[in-house]
Amino acid sequence: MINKMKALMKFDIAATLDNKVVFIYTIIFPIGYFYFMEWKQIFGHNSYSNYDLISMLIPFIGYVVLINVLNNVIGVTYARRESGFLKMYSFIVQSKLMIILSPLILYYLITLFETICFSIIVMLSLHLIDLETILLTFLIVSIIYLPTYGILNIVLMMRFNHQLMSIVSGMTLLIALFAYTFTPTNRIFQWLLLIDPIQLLGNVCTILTSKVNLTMIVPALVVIIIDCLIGLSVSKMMPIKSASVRN
Amino acid sequence: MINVNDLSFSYKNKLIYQKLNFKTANGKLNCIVGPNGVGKSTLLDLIAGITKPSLGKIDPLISKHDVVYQTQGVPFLNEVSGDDAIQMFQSMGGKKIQSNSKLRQIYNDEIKSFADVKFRDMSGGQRRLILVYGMCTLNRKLYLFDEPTSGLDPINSQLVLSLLNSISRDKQVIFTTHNLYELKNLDVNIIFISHRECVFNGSYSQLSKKASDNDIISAYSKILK
Repeated sequence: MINKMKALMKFDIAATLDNKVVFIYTIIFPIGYFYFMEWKQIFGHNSYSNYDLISMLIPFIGYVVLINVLNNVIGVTYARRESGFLKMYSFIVQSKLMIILSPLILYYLITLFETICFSIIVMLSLHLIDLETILLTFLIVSIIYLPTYGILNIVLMMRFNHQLMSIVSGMTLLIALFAYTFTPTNRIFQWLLLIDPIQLLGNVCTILTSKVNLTMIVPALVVIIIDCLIGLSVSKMMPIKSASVRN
Repeated sequence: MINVNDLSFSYKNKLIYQKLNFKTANGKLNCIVGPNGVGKSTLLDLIAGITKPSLGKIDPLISKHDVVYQTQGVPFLNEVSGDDAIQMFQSMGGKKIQSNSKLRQIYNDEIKSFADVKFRDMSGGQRRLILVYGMCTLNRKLYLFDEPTSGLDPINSQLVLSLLNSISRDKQVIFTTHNLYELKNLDVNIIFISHRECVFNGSYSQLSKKASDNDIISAYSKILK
């Protein structure tokens, strides 16, 4: 099994390295946007607490996680299924889950690398280096990555033409970023909004940087477990045959 | 031997098969032929167990772990080379990799010269040759190939068929084709599907004899009418 995973990941690494522009683009855009939005802070000499800094980073980290999961894990699995590759490949590998796991693991590592790079660039721009923020970035991405994959995996159960995939992922990203701007006072709405991976990310960040608060931990934990279970069930139930094309 | 018993199947309210019955032969190639859209690929999906029949059964339904299935297109990762792909097949096969003189000969004579080329730079025929070769190196009970010779020149077509023939002695090999002439010199059991049922199940020479001029295409056309 380990040999099979190694072989599969070698393929996915080759595919990733072949398309380096996308690899850089994922963090170039958030860096540009950060400079555009925070230029006053960048050129000022303000002091920031650890919490201020990580709060500033949240939407950008959320963006990188979402983009990688949507385009490089779910999008890739979708494209492979629609092209007939998943059908043929799952017989060769003797496991559908391994084919799904390979880009998932690889892009977890790439997402970690990209978000940590982004955090370092932001810290350098703000004239401070804080190891705790790097550690927090690592922890937040590690906690949020699987649930984000889980909830977004629902896309794989939908039936739509494969040309629509980029629209679906663009819309998902917009809705997630838009939902993050909401701060409802009603507790039930607050919990419901945790479906949004970026809201969940903000919640996890607050939990990690403030005192332990059960009213925050329990809903976040429940959503994380539910998201992961959705991801696992979809991965198991997802057909290997194309949903839109006969192949 | 695989028995297909009273198999019925519908796709999007269209009846594809109605009480389809046939048996595959052991120790030789099994070739499914029939007009376009008759459901040859669907039949391979049913035999592979990824599509369930509406009625009837396939006996035995071989476990997916013991099946290798080449789909009609050649979907593969464009970024990898032929050698990378072959190495991947070897990793999937582990210690149970198949190797016979035919496989070695095909690699040395035909594949080696372009094995370092990436898939995106290969011709359709070269891609297919590598995939079929790689699949034949895997040690499984059932091998399904959907139009394995499509897009191949006559020499490579014969090469692929001789490769399939070399593993069919002790494995169950089922493939589809539209080119009946390429079956002439093979020990092959033809399963002819038309009008939602199996209209012929037998050897090449038996099928040829259905026409007065012993031509396989004439026989094919006669049965279709």
